[in-house]
Amino acid sequence: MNRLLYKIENFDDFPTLPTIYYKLVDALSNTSTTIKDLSNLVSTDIALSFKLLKIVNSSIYGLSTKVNSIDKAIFHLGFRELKNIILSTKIIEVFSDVNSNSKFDLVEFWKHSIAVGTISRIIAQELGQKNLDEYLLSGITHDIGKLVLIKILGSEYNVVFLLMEKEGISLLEAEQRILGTTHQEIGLKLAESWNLDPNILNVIRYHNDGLVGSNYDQLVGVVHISNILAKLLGLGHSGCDSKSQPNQLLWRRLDITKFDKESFYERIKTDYEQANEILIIN
Amino acid sequence: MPRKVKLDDIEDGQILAETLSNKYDQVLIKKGTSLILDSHIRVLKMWGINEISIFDDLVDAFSSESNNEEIANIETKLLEELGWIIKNENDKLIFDIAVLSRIGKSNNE
Repeated sequence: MNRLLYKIENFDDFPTLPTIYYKLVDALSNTSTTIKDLSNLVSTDIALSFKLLKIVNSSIYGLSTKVNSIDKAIFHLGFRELKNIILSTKIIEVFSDVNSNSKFDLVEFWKHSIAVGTISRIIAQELGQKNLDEYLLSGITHDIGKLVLIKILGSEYNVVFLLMEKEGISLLEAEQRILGTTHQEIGLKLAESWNLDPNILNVIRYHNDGLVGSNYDQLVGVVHISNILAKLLGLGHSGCDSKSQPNQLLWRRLDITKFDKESFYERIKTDYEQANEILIIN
Repeated sequence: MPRKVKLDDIEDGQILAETLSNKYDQVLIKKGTSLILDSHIRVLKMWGINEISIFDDLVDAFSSESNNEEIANIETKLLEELGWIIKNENDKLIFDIAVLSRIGKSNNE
């Protein structure tokens, strides 16, 4: 086995989600839980409460009245969306110890992921979807395996970028050749250990293809498109420049031709900036 | 060239040089619209917009925007860079948004 793969397979310091998240999951699975219970729980984490209010009051939500209490924020979000938002903020926090290096910039990585999340969320909203923050979360998590690999290997991971550039191959192929595994596989492993929803696992595994096997899945399809758009618009940087064309099979089921391109683009810029301001810790 | 005018100074048939949105980011009037005094000004006043950017007429809009030529240049360059073959309206929309994001940027370099 090669040395890098050995390091990856023997790594046992996977980041864990904070206890407040698991308390929240418990509370949500209990049918007698009230908004008040949840708001008491969220309020124990001041930074989280602050972020939650900022998100609900941002252009991303576009509410017409100001929400100034956690109770009201949860009321607007709904239980499932509350979980998705909290996961989004906490996942960014647990990776704050990953070091940037000459080939990889942590802030740029998150900006890219947040761009994918906000663009996905906008597309989903235009398509009349309800669970919008699952789309935001999907953007945040889609490339999470890259962070795990960089956490484990540090700048040794750069060999992958160098091979990718030198040979003009995809990142996945370069990873497979050098590491014998990919960021998708590691990302899946982490997401499974966190017990994330199967929908999110699908996004991590299939967003590059755009289809789940040969089946259409709206979440995966939308993230596929948003990932391409985020790269085209130069929002953040994922470590990989390739701007492949959308999977054409997707367009049989996903139609965005009715979008007004100017207002769509303006909305992407506004939501992206606000989401960055709220979610990225400097 | 586009110029700024106060609402009271707008004349019929001038062309809007910017897309105007309300505070909720909903588009009120799109860039390129030929302005109709009564109806458009009422909407703008309602949202507290006092000044807008306009072209005096269509010729002005076309020639000074430099847009047509600039956009064509951006499109050619981007298509070459990406190596895409645009096959349908969905591809085109994605591509057009990428083009939008580059308009004006080459002027600043």
